[in-house]
Amino acid sequence: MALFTAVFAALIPFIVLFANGYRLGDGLKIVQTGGIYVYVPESETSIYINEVLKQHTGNFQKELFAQNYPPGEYHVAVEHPDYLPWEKSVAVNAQEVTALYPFLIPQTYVFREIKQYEEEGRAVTDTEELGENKEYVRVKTLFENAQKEKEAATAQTENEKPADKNTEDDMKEQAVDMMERGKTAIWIDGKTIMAKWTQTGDWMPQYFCFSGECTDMIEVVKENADVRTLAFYPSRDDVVIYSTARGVHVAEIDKRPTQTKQEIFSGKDTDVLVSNNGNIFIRDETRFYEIEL
Amino acid sequence: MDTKLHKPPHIGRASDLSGSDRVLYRIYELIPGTLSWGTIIGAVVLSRIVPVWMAFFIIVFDFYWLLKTIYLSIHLRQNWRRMRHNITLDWKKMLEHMNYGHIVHLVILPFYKENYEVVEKTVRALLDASYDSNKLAVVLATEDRAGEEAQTIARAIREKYRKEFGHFITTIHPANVPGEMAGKGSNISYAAEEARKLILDADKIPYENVIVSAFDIDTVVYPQYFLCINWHFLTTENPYRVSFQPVPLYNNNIWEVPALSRVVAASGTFWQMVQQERPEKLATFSSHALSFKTLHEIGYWQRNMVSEDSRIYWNAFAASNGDYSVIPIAYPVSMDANLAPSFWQTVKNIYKQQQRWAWGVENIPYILFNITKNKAIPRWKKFRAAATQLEGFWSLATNPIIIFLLGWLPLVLGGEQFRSTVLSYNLPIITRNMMLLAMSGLVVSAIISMTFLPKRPEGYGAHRYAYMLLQWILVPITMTIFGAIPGLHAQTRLLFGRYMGFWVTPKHQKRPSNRG
Repeated sequence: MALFTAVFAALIPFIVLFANGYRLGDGLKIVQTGGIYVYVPESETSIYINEVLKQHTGNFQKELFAQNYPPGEYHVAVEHPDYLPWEKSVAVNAQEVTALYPFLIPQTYVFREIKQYEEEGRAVTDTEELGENKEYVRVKTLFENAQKEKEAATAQTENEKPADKNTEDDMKEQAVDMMERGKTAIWIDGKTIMAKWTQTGDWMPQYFCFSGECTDMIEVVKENADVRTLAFYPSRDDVVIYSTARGVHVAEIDKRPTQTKQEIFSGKDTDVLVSNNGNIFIRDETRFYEIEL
Repeated sequence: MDTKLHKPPHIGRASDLSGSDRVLYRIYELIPGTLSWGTIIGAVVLSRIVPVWMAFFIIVFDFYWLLKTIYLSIHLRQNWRRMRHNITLDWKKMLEHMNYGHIVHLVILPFYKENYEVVEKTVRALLDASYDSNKLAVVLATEDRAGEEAQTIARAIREKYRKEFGHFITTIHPANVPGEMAGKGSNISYAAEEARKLILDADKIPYENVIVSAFDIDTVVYPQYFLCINWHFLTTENPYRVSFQPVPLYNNNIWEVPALSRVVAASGTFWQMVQQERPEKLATFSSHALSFKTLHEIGYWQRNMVSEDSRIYWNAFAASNGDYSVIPIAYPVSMDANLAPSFWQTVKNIYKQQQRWAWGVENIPYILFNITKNKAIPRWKKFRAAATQLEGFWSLATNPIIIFLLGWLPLVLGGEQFRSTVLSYNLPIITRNMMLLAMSGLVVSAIISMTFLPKRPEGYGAHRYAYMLLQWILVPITMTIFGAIPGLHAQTRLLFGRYMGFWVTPKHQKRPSNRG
């Protein structure tokens, strides 16, 4: 019993210090370290830290937690043959973990036009014979409603809260003025997309911090033309999807280099809309599309 | 020196007392539940407000648990070796230079509504023991409230076996005796008093020559049980200041019961084996033995509470001013594991039995009350008794919950700031690794349990051995659902004054059982 008590008393300080990120450095000095956490939902993904392969994800292992890093800057890269490469330079702080959730854009993606008139297995020749495609009507109505709401919203003097996400409508537009998901709010400011961390307190995600200084409001994207529509990317609170007149883009809110930003649709008069079910619809002039990344 | 023990207070609950004693006793009844619930609620609250410190506590606690598991595992192996040695030892040879012809073994078998086969098997085993059956006095202790069928069985058994033993009587414990709780304690106390009058006094057998074994109706003795008890009785410095504790193996029907029942039963056996290596922390449990002289002086088992098997130790402890202990004999008796006609009924019965055993927490207020009132008990013995029992019941109710359920709380409740710390990421990794190491001790448990298995009955394939090994992965479930939760349940009942009554574990058999 005395032996076990002695072992317990002797080892527990080391275990607790180890758990807290303390390590033995050069010259047996105790140093504080931090960690990097990367989660990628796709399997067969390679994760590199400072060009060293750290993890190759599989079906049951989709994350990497690497620790023992002294405070400093580290380069994280994620590669998958079916996706565009992703990389980021991040700061690691003592006793903290820098968490990364790479947004991977596929090399190819599903792109479907929602036809106005459609009958299965038969080319549309005589539109008078056919009724309008119900899906087309629904999506068109959505965009029309969204436009009306936007016009109404812009007539107001203060920002409105986004539409209640708990309504029971089948598909619903995300409001184009300020919208919130989790603790992040985004809105359009002319040619710029802004993001704000809405939770009070000292803590905020590291992508609101630059050079050791944190700010609760950042400029996500500055385009050459007015941003027309904006939404959170489905199931993400750190990625936005937006349209200018000429195209639809996705962009990480995280501006740490390299910010992932990609045009996914090029058009002439485009708007984008994300339904409550997470479907992405694009309007270009009178045509409607559904896109699946 | 006056060696006669005074009768200690036979307190069942706070309402048995009055005035300030009643208040004090009730306060003591609140302690176990308050400690356990305080721990659980505290874990939830602290995980929210100081998640870092809670994470440290969980890591420290898990490491403590890992070391404790190793420590207990060493004791388990030690007792396993001791038991295997004792089972094969020739106890008759050990006694050859001792005089034990004067010793009479009084075996009390409390009987409720069990069937004829269960009763006969137990009685038969007494005859099959390597001991002069003329030196055995058997008391088949029946309950009036069990009805005529039980009396018929008792009579039939008596008729068949009474001439095989030195003495064989049946007693009928009256129902609804004021001040008594229906159950084993009141029954066997009544039986002991009847035996005193009808056997001991009638044949002028000195009480100091009589060793009482209080069994359950399914307790099957191993062949040298009585010889082993004799040896310990004759070699102990003061045999009237000790109880004798065998190790319960639940082997009677081990091949017939479901895996859950086997694991729970074996876990109980292992706990008793571990305790046998720490006799300073041991109290009597289930089947046990003691001198009739001592038993009579302290007024037999309490008739007004449930856990009479452990309470008798604390009665003697109080009566002797702390000069009482338990001799672990590291020799087994075999009993039934839980089995009911359906799986779900078996599960319910296991829970109820575990809750009844966890109701041994009712001893804590009794212990605390006695050590408060009895100034003659040495202070260090008071402290050890209180600390051991409080820690034991607190561990039972909280440790599995902390380990398997609450370890994640800081991550869930601690907030984003905590969740971004290295500590929060290492918490599940460190605790998982420690628990894996601790659970690896189950391999030892599995091997030990295999060595105690009786012969596989005909009709049971050899693949059953594989189940006997694999069943140990159920331990995290059984520790929580059949350990911590009934433990917490019992302590909560005591906390709110909802006292338990005695619940008789039904004995169900699928087929004739094996032992040995």
